[in-house]
Amino acid sequence: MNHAKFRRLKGDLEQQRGALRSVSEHRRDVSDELARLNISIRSLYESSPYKLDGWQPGDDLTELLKFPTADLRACYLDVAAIKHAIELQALKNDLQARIDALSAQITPLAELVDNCQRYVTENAL
Amino acid sequence: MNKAPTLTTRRDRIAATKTQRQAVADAPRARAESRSDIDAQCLRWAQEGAERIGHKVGMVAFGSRIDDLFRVRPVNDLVDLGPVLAHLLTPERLAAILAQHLERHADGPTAAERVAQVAQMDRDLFDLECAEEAHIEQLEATGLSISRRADADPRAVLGLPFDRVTTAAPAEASDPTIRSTPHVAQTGRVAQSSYVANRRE
Repeated sequence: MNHAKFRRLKGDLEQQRGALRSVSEHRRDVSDELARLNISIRSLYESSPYKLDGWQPGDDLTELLKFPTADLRACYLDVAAIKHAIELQALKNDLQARIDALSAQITPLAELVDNCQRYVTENAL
Repeated sequence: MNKAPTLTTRRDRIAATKTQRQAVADAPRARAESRSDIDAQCLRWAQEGAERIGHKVGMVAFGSRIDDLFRVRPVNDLVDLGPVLAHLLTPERLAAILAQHLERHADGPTAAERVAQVAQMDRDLFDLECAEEAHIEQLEATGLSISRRADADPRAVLGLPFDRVTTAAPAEASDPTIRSTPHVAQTGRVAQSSYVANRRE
């Protein structure tokens, strides 16, 4: 039996699981920061005396950038904060895609390693 | 000019072989074997029926009512009509009537043929899986990262021989359909690969 190969497969699995944990933690941090920023933007907007025509909290933030900066300022909105929130959303989506891709790799590998481990254990190899 | 098979081609062949193997495992029994079972059962019923009815008719001679002759007391809520029918119709006639229903189903391999065919397919499948694993190792040697199939045969992955005597239970995820044929023992069907069967010994 090729023990070195089996160890390598198990090592690959652990490495991929570690990568998944790392990306998941990153995504969680980004998600938390984005949530805070969204709350801040919403709160500022709702406290302003002026409202933008055709946009309301919960709508796509990229739509905000179509308004003149002066209008945004009148609504207590900061272009830099909006752009940062848009970047965070894109990063969150990208991290989620990486999580999905890693999960798709890990699931069959974990099943294979589990099958091999069961075979090795039950046959005392 | 022959092109070297790609990994995808190899995996397609493995999937196709598994499908063929399942088809053989699930194929109907040989009609002649089913007919033989029916003939034998009708003979057993006829013998049992002759004894039961002979006994009852004999009791009439000692005063039992003739109209009780075909009254039966259910055992566990069941009344088995087989013995009476086989005795009255004759086992040959009953078997011929029952055997007509076999014609509705396709003829299949004999038990021995099925065992041989499945064993050959298991061997072929193992060879295909070993070739797939060798192909993956070649690609990995060039620096590529290749995902293995979740249901790859552990023997092929771990470099173990096909004929290794094993004791372990099979990996259920690898072939759940094959494991779900509870009538295997009665029909003589081969419902598990030799890999699976070996592991259960």
